[in-house]
Amino acid sequence: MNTNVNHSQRCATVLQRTARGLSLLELSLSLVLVAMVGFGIASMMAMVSAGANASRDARSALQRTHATQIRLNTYIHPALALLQVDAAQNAFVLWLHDDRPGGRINLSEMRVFSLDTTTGVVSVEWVEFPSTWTAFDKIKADKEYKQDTNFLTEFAVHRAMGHVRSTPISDGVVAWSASYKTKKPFEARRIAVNIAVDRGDSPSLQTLMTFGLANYTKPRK
Amino acid sequence: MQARMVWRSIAQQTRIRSGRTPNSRGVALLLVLIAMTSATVLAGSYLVSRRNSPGIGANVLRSAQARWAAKSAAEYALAALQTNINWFDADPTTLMPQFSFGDAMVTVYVTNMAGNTPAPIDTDLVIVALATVNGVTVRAEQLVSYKSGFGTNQAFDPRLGEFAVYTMGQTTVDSTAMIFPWSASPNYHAGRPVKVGGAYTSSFDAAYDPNAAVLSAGLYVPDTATLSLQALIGQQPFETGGIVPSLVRVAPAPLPASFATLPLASPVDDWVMSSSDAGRLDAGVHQSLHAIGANSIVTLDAAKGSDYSFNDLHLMNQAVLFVKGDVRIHVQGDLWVLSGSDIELDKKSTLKIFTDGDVIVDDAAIGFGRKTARDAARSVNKVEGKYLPANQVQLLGLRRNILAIGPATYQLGTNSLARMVVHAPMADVSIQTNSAIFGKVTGDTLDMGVNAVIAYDTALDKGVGVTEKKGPLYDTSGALLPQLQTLLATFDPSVQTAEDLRLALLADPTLSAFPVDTLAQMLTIPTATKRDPRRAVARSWPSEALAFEASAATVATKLPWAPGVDQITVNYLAAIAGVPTTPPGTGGTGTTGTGTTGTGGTGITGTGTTGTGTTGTGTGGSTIIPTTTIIQ
Repeated sequence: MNTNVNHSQRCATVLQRTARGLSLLELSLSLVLVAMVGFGIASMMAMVSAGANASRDARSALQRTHATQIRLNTYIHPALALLQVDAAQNAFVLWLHDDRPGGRINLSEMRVFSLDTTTGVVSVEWVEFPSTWTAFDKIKADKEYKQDTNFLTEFAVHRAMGHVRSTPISDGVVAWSASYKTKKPFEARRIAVNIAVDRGDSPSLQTLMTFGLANYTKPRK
Repeated sequence: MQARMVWRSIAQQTRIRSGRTPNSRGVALLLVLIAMTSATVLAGSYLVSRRNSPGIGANVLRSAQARWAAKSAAEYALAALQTNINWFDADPTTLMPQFSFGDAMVTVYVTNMAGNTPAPIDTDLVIVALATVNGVTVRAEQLVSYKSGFGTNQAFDPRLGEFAVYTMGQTTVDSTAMIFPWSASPNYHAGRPVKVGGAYTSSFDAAYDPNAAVLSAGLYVPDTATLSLQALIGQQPFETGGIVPSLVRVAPAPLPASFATLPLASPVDDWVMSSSDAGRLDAGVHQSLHAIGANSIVTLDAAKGSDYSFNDLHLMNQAVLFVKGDVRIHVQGDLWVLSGSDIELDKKSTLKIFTDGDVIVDDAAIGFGRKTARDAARSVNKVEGKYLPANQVQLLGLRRNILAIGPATYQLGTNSLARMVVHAPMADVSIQTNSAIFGKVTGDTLDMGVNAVIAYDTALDKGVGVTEKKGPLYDTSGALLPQLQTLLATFDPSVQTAEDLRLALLADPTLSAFPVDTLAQMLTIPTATKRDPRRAVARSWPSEALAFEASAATVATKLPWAPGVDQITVNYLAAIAGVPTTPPGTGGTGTTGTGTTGTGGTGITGTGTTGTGTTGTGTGGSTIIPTTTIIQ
């Protein structure tokens, strides 16, 4: 009798000691449940994250496209003429103003817009002579050009001399092209710019922009 | 029996773990907490990512509203300038203060090209419209050629100041010579070409070398010019040009009548200034002045009389003729400024030199100060950036019998600089090696030699003269006004002077105002504020693009009127920030003797301070300056 009592007491003691943790079944069940919940949460987080990223990329692309459109319009709307379009160099040239009046194109009156495909940055470039030069020196260096000049080549010369400044207009641009419908670029009164902006993992955002030259002026020969 | 006991024990433990004992609680709670935390983080992140979207949208909307309001207001202001309203009597800078335009509050300012308050004679204006929608401010600008402030008789300049070069006979320009607008001139960006031309009708007389650096220039010739001369318009080296009525003729300036009654001044004999002598002359007639001593200085002070007459006036060896006030000189013989000498003007002084004889300036300077004159390496480069109005010094050739004694000779020899207006239609003007005139030249002939320079002071061209077919001298068909034609036809430059023509113009009351567009009046119902597009013409100017570049550049902004516009923006922001519209609070009334304390009034956003004394006076609260975004 004593033996039985002792045995049952021993068993109870053992059971009480082991009952402080989970049983294998309970542990398995709880792990499965945690894993399922964790997987669900992770999936949801990934989904939300992907959605947020896509949304952010789309919004970023829209904003960059909008900024590009606004900034290009800032230049093209008041510009006098389109001077050159070079698809190979991803660039086009505008005659922005006639500050040296008379109807001929001067170096300081031109702006070059180009896309650097390696960085995805669209920039505007203009000539700025060294500040150490006198106004007289600058006037002499501010050459006049005929309407059919290769302006990009001329700009390259001055770029090499360190006389060209630039500032970014937009970044994350995958591709762009400018087009016009007239025979010569300087005859165009409207310009179409097709721009593709990076949108992360999604296909790039394609936008066609058209601009009118409100102050169109045909440059003198 | 034992198995039963074991199962009982398990059941008991299971009950314990099911929450019946404290040690078994918390697992589910932990899971719930983790889940809730994750959900909260996710929801929070999402909400944070979305929080600026409404703001972005609102800002885009506000900037668009403000941009179009600013552009519209600038057009509105242009329309106002095209009427005959007299807007100078009020505040000429703030043309339209604080008015509602759509959803925006707009203020329109007008300045001259230097960014200062415009005067009625300013013909090149800048319209600046600043529009604000909920803290987003946008600025729009327009350059305007404003002609409405001129009557016909004021617009017509008998000396044809709008021409950088005007000759009766031949103009010869060497291939190395230069004619260009003086870039330091305040109207440099006015968008008008540098005008050259003359009364000549043959292409032979326009002897400009095609390789000469005649920059931004237009050739203007009489309507009687040969076809070959007219064909030069727009050809190298000219960019543009036009036809001027042949009725327009120039005459020499007259000697003011006051010179005929000048008193005899001492010394009457030839006066020779020795080395480092300094003298102050009295006004009146002097025999001759020879300042030939090194560094000698002669002062002509308008306080001692404004008119001086000399037989000859010779400045040599770094001598200085210093002018204070508004002075006139009559040189009956020759004027020499040689070897480092200088004619120097005090601030805001003017000098008119009337000459009968020849003028020689060699290795010397006029109008740039003694430091430049004494600099052996003086050059155009060194003075081009230092602007002072060229017409502060006027060299006026008097009438002479060219047939009998030949024309006078005005010569800038080697390495000489002169800031002056030369009006000598009966003189042969020559600018030789490395010499330059900053101003303009009217002569019988002009010869520009090797590296000779004329830097035209564009402030002399108001844009309303004989070359401006859309100005107050012409009707809407582009023909000279009939009254002006009649007057010019009766003018005889061989016996009359430019002053005679000016007086005749002023005497005609029909020419005292901007000409009325009679055709438009017939076609439309006249109103008090009828617009005439000729009165104010807007010029395209990419101000936003240039402002964008200026903000990107490390150097100072390139806009010509930037300082003024910047101040305008500052003033505008201060204006829209506002001052308390509620007047300062007034303190309560105390009782005499005990002097109780009054209470301050309430301002826009604050409570005034407490007044003290018998009648205490409080101060109104101040407003909170809103955060404002400026978009170019």
